[in-house]
Amino acid sequence: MGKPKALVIGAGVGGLSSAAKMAQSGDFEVTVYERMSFAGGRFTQHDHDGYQIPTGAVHMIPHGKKGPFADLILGKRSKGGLDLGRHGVEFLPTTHFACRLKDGRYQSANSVYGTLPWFTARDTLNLPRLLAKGAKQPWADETVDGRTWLRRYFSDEFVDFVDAFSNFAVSLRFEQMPASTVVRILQNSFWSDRPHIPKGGCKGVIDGLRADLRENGAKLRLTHEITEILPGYAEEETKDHRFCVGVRRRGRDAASWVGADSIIHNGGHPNLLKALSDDFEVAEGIRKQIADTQAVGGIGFCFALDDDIPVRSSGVTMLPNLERVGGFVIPTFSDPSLAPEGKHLMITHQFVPDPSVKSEIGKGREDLYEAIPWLADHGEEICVHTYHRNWPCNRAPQGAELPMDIGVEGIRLVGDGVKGHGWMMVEGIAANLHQAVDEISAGMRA
Amino acid sequence: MKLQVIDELCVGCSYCLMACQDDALIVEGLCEVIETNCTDCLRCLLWCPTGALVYA
Repeated sequence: MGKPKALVIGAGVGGLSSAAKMAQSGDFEVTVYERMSFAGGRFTQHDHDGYQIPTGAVHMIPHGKKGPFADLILGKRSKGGLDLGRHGVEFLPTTHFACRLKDGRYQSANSVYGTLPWFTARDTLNLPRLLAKGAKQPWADETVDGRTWLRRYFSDEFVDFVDAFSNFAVSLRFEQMPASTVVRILQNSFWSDRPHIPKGGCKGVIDGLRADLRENGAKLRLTHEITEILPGYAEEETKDHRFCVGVRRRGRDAASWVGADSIIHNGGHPNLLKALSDDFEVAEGIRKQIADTQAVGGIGFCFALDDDIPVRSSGVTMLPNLERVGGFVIPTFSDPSLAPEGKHLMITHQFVPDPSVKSEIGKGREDLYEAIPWLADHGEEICVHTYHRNWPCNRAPQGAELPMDIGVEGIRLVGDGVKGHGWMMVEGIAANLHQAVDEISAGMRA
Repeated sequence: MKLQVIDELCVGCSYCLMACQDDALIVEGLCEVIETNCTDCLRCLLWCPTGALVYA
């Protein structure tokens, strides 16, 4: 008998990390299928004339070396981590904990306390209550949205600042999230390390994951797409396995059947449901929850900057009070290799309240030139990325809590569709991944 | 046969722009092909996350 076959659909950071974890155990035969010609999904980058243009993740690890993502990627194997430091993966600190550019004036802080002088005495008094580690829930009723709730206790100045941060980090404004989610995000962020930047950009982590997969004999198949997922007995050659999965090389007509004993899906709930055949029962309630959950869009500009800019910080810079844009980062102040010598890369992010993306891009551009006085003279727009529909910022909005288990034995979801409560961006992916992998592994060992 | 964009699938992510070596694509909200520049290398097609680029 060969080892049980674990199939991973999607080579995003969630899929690759899950595969690496299973491959490190040595108990399974692991294969990752990715429909695109590159690995990493929205957590990698493309080289454009020496500028490392991210595919989504703005080269940021929001909670630095103290968050779930660092625990997963750099943590020791005995503690559930992948220990990718062995493959040269490194996180570089940003220059500041948080920054803000308001009315043309740049402020930076090295800790949460450093930001306090920016706000009122009332904010200083209420902040400890908000950040009390025991307070996992808001201290008042949480039927209201995050903005209404926060404004009861904090000044507009403070709310606008953290709201810009939310816009930048999770592409949602506070009025779009329940109060409990907002409180958890703020607690997790304020108590964490300053944001870090992976050495060599997001791709540095992806290359580490790929090296680890190679080392442990796992396979990564690029430009291969999944056509459908059937029960193993559907085809003669896969009858000894739980699943029979149709795999096709992109651009070819013929698909072949691949047997699998478990599936980790990194492509979001709607795409999983689309691939699953009618032989699998998914409860109506879960189907409805998935259908009712809207993916979250976003727009990001990439600017090439010269070295004469007045801002010398790689910290996440909030731009409060703008109509669309939440903030920007210039990661090249921590890792100069992300741009050609003597140049900088600036990445912005904004939420998308309206489906007419073209006018949203225009509004974002207006915001940026208005809020950043030196941008017109020192910056050149390289490109604008938009994320929506089937390639969103977040497959499920922060706080949506779609289940990683849709009730089909042997299948679990990972990735940004199943982020843990209050953990944002890659931290959310890492926070929930262990449970999915553990359940799948236990199932295959049984 | 030529490179075409299916507008309903295009999300404007600009990955195709990064893949293109011939300045044959513009992305501002949606992707557009500049046919005179396109050399049909189809690298962009393999980078497209949503299947919005087709060669037909």
